[in-house]
Amino acid sequence: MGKPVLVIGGGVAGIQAALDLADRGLKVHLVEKSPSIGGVMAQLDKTFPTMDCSICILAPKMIECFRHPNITIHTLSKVTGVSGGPGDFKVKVLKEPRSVDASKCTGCGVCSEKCPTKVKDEWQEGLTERKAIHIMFPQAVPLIACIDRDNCLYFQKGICQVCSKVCQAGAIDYEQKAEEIDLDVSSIIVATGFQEYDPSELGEYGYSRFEDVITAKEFERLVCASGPTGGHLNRPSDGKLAHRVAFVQCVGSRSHQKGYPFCSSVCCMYATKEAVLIKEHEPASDVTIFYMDLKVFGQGFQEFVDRAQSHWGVKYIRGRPGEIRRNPVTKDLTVWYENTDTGEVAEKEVDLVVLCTTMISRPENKELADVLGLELDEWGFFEPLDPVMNPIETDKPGIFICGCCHGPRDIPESVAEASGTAACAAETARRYGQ
Amino acid sequence: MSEEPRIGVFVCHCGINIGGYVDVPEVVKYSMTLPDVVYAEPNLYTCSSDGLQKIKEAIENHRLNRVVVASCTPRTHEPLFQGACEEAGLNKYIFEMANIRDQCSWVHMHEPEKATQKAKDLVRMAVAKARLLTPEEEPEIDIHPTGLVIGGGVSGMTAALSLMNQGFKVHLVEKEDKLGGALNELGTLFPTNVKASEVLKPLINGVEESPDIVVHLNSTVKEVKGFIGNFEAEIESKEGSELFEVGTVIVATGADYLDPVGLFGYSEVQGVVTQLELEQKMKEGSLGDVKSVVMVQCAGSRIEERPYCSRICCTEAMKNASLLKEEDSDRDIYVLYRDLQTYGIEYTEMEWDAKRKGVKLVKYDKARPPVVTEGERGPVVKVWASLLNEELTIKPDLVVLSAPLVPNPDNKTLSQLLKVPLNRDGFFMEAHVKLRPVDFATDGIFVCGTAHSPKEVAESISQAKGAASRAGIPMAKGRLKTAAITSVVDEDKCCGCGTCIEMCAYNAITKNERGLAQVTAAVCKGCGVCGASCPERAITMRHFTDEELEAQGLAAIKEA
Amino acid sequence: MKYALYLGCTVQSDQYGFEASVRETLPKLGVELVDMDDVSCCGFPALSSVSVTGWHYLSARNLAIAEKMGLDVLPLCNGCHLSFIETIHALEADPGLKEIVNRNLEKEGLHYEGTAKVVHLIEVLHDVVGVEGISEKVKTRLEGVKLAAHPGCHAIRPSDLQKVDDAENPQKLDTLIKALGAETFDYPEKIDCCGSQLAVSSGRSTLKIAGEKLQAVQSYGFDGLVTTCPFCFKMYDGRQRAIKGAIGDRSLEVPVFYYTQILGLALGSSPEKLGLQMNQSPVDGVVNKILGDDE
Repeated sequence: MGKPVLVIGGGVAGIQAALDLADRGLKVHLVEKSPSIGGVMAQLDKTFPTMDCSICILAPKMIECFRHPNITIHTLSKVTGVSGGPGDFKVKVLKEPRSVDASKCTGCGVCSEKCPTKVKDEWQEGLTERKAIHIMFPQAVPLIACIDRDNCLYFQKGICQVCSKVCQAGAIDYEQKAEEIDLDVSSIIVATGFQEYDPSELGEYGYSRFEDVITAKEFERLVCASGPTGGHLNRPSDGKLAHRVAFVQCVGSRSHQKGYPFCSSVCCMYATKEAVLIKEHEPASDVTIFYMDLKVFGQGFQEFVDRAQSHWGVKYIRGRPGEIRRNPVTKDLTVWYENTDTGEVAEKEVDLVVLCTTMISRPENKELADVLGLELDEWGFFEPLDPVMNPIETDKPGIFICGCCHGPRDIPESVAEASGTAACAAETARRYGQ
Repeated sequence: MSEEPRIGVFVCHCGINIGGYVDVPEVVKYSMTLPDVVYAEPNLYTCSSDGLQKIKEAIENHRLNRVVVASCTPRTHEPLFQGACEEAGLNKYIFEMANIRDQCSWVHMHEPEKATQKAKDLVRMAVAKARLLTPEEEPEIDIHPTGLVIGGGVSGMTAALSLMNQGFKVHLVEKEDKLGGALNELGTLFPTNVKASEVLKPLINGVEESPDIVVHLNSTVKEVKGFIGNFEAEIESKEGSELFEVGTVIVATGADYLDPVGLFGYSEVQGVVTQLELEQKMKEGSLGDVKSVVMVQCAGSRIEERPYCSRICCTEAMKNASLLKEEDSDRDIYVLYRDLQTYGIEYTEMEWDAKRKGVKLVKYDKARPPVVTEGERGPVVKVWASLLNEELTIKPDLVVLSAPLVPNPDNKTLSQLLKVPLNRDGFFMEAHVKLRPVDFATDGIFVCGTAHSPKEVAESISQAKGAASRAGIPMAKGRLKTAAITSVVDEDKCCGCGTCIEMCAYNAITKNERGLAQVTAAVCKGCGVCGASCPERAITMRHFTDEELEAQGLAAIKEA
Repeated sequence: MKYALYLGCTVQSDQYGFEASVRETLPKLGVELVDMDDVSCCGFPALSSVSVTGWHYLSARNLAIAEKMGLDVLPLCNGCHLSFIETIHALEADPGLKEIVNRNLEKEGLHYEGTAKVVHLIEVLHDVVGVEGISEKVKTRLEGVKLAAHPGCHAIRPSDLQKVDDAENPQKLDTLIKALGAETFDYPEKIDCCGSQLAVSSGRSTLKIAGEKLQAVQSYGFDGLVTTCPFCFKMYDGRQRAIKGAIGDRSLEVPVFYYTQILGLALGSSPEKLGLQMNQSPVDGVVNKILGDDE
């Protein structure tokens, strides 16, 4: 048995790469910086164009990773040092303390129930709260609690400790320390994913002023049955059920003024998906998508849009809204736009506005790139060895990239690339006698 | 192990998840009253190492030969408990689970009495089935470490090289007299404008030089028999046919390019060519004196008869328009589009670049497409520019139609041969759009490149490597062990109607020499559709036999 | 705090209430205002549409006078303020233009170097005097009075030049209103233009634009509209009767104030000192409410 492979990033791409490698008999270290693997896909309600429940199709793969004898998952971990070369990389991984003994915790959730400290829940996009000790989400893998030390009364003020009192498995461990592990691997796969652009700088859309102007990820949590409103489209400001919804495309993209100049590839499709979700919940809703060019280049995309229009009645208006205003009395929002097909300037009153923001690079890429000795492009994404001939290799032999860490793309592409990097890693393992 | 069932029942508290709502000691007591249950105990956490140890000890001390755990979901924990049984010397298929958490305590939190009764019912049902369970053997098959790649274009060669580098032998079948596929026709590739021939060179050299890759030119696959790990492929060439044993198959047969006869004046008006023909003229340097060009996007796609978008044409148009402008900045170039499909970082940059160079983008509506007619000195294009709200009349030297990629006409034959499906548009259809993008539902067969859907070279290469990874998995393992939950045909009852063969999504059932149904256990996924659809009730499922299910059903409604 | 006070044309020609209330209130907050001698029009909007060089010359001339006085300039009009800001940027970006301007200024013994900063009334009150500085001097709190803020376009746009307040979400005037104890809140039409700029070319349309805004303000239950620009004030206050006619709304009635007028009432100045008798919109009701007089 040769050296293991390191996969950095536990989203759908990292998971796929890890499974491919593990299934063929190679050992894998899957390093993930949050308390659970799953990434963004675990936060989505449904996926386009098939309208599969996202977590339903992802969770079995997450569990497979957990149970696979060849995969070791390191959560709350990040790579801090890399030296060596293909066939022989020496990697340093820093594991932050969970403050919970993983071998004892059964994920029963009582600690979280009794914890007195409430904090904004990042996984729920800040729409609701969680406790200082918490399980990241119901299908988290590993299903183990974790203490947010920055907000824990014990770690901040030396009081409370209710969780250790109620834990029947005796799994709370306040003394747990950060650990540094050394790994010896034959190749490295980078699958660190993306993050959402923050539309606050686009003052005209009122994102930071109007609670009912939300981003796409916030919408996913709102409409998801495991979200803060149980899947009902109750808008954040007053809980009114949103019947009229507007989607604004290209928020933070295709612009040289603010944001980024490139097209984020998937937003037209995810907006269509979200529009159909609203219609599925309530067929009489009034849903409009304001777009620039409708990106339907993927397999099944055009048909999905056609169906959204003809069957569900989703409206598409070609025109980038100029401004969003809010009525101070009713809290309803008005979208002010030009319908470029007809040339008319008009207003549309809606209950909720969803800003479809660009997928941008994660700030952590910079540190990771330094550690790996890789170049990032001007937008902070990892760069391939050659954009045509070697799209998933980098200029460092033995280090491969897949998924959104090198640019916006959808799940099927990320998964195919992940398998591709697994092939590259398998080839490297063989080449160096691993 | 004695014939008489000796059932052990373990009821889990799961902390307070179950114990807080269901009276666990009650359920344990009740279990002991059930016939054939010789031992029952409560656990705080059955899944803990402590709990698993207790199961193993109980199996030994009480000579248990059937085990029931009443706890959480088999989805996450069944293999764990099965593992414990195996470690204690039992076959894992004598284990049964009752979900008294997700399906009981979690959903009946406000009715503890009813929840306890339901838990008892669920245990009784599990015991009824466990009583009839028998040990099963998991079939193992050998996997031949040779791959068959159908198609010698950029995708096929990439997949073949990857398989070779992974240590396998490959048969690469190409129907033309040379390798290269579509890239032989192309000039430059976006976004770097690298020459297509430069991309092909290392691939062709690699493939030709490798002793592990056997290239079959002028050849087609005539027949494929067998199943994963053990396919028998008949490859036919001018010299005759040969049989090869392969473990996996990768379909990389590429796509065709639409001949847009009758569309926008093609083959009717002088000076109307396709984007591919323009590409070739530019490659050969035979473009001639062209001062003005009109490119028409969606020429034959995103319409009734062909609703899909061909993905690459808009970026291809940007590339060629920019190249034409770079050659001669005085050229007048229009691109008539409906929605510009320049996506991602590099392709959007190509759009900005083309605009900066002065390429004019004119939007037209699906309902009012441009009209191309023969003029005095060349083609005349009339288009309703919807953003300008006026009709433009352009008299270019050349009209270039961005026609779509269409399925390879050989797809139908190949799909029948391999028994893999095509989608509505005629391209090969993968097992699952999101999570198995390069697999077919049939084990051991994979797809990549434009055979699957229109895509550019970089994506074809990524997908080809992906397919090579997936194909490499069973071949690397060498042996495949499959679950024992497979269907069994009672030959005495089978009448050879073939319904099960039709229904099976995994091509796991074939007709044997006597014309009766035969299940290839290694490929069977245990879905049970065959059993449910058999009109003679000749098929039953291991571990879910008719008797077992009947016993469970009766136990649900009757008290023991 | 000492500034060269630049009045501009509109204030001197008919917006006496603005000048009066500024001279009455600012010294009470510790701001000394020094009059400028021999100043001319800022060049906006008439000259700027005809000659860019002429505009920047005229505009820079006023700045040069302030430079000579050794003081920063406080213009009272949004338009003048933007004009000066644009000139500063233009002369910095184009040394050739600066040379032409200075060659002409030299004839009068003036020189433009760009050392005199230009401040806006809102900046002086919000950033320099500050909310604390104002509220501690407030004698009469404007309890129960709801006022709509109208900062005006030229104070906040274009956002790459104008830094008085945020172009999409200006809050400073709102904060200043609240500092007096009055209520205010965001309303969708807050940053809509008063239309004055278009009055020359499309008179009737501008009345409609202004009328729609006033109707909206009234519909939200505001007691009045507050601004710091004489052009905006002239439109909303001076032409409110014409606006009513143009949009056919007899019930339109929106009291319009300069911020310094309500500031003055809060600081204890009498209405006459603040020029309130010259407001043409129906302000008496609100003034009485503030002063606590019986109706």
